[in-house]
Amino acid sequence: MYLYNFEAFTTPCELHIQASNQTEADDAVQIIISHAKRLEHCYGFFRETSELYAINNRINNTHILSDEFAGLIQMALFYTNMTQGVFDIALSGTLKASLKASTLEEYHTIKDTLFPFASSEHILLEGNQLTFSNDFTKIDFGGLVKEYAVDQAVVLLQNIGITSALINFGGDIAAYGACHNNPWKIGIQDPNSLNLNLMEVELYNHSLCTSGHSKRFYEIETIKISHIIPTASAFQSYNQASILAPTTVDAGVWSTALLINPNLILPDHIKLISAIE
Amino acid sequence: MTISNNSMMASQMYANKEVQAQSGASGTWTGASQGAGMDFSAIAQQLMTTMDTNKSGTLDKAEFSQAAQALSKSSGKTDTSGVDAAFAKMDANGDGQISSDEMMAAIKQATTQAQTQKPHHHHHQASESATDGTQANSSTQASSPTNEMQKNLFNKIMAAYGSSTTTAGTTTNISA
Repeated sequence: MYLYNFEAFTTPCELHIQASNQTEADDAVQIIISHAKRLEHCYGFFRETSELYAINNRINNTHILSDEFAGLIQMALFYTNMTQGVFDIALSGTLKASLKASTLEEYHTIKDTLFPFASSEHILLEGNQLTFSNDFTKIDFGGLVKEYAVDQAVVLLQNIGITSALINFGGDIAAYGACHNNPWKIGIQDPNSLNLNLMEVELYNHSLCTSGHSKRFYEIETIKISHIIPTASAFQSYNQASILAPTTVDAGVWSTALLINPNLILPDHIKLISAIE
Repeated sequence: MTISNNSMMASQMYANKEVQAQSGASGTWTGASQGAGMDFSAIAQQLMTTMDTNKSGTLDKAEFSQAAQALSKSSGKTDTSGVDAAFAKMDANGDGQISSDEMMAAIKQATTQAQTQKPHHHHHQASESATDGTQANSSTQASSPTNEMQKNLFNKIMAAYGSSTTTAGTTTNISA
């Protein structure tokens, strides 16, 4: 088993790869890192050279997207529907501007002003053509693209003949195959006591995502504001939620959505295995 | 979050830092050995130093072309039509710049491909596909490896919802 650490999507990433030799493992890791970096470059919200940045900082409101970009939007809109509008790439994207405020008053003013535009109802995808209804709606693939990268990493490993690996991009985890003929064991960290695990989960060909407010946040006037921006009507009662799902995208989206609205009813194949209030 | 198997506990892997902005990650790879018997990093660094005429730390297409032309002259070749393709292939993340990491990866890949006597045919074929996929981000080729991977993921997601009693929203298909 070969272990690698690197950073992508602003979080530490870890790969455990079962390979026949070091070179094979190194090659596999290079492919995964390259792919993750490409996604980061294409879809980073703040990355000025990204395709996403160009669209968010647009001159006109109609754009022809690459197939992959259009596919990601389509995927996001699917989840917006499945989560009854809780998971919404236009919500966090549009309201992100409020996080640049230097005072809480400014933060609330910007947020309130932009809120009417912070919905996927303001975007229309027709084939590869994306049209915004206004100049203010923006898209953010947070909660989706990192998870998408994890799922694709599994496919990339499959393509090169690797049969066992554990991929962890900042808490978005895919367990591919087995670990020395046993399920992978994942410890879910206690957000209130980082040296302790809340529980251990056994994973085999499944994904686990944990979303929380405690690790990633913005700070305005010493007030911590979660990187996951809640809707105005929803209330926060989970500080951390861990979801088990067949794909990392599924797990990531639903763990994010549950933080925003803990009353969501999960589909049968999505399992909430740990939640901290 | 921790990862373990029966005998091993891996390091804590969660961003334990304040996030002020979603700035780009450095992507520094601190993994295990990066080559078998060959210091790819040193070779890449040497080439970067030579070719990076404006000392920006990366190679743009002009610098790359300049180096390719110089190489062509010295080798007596005049055909430089493959420069654009070579640049695109090395520019794995498609940002228009070749970083030292990308240079190292390209050298390593070229070295590995040169060793085709090794029984790794399936491996190399797949690696090449993946590399091609990373360059197809802005294209609209329906059959690119990236699109195929995305389609497969869509299908997997939809298969899960197809077998699930979903009450959260009305069913919407993702057309792959």
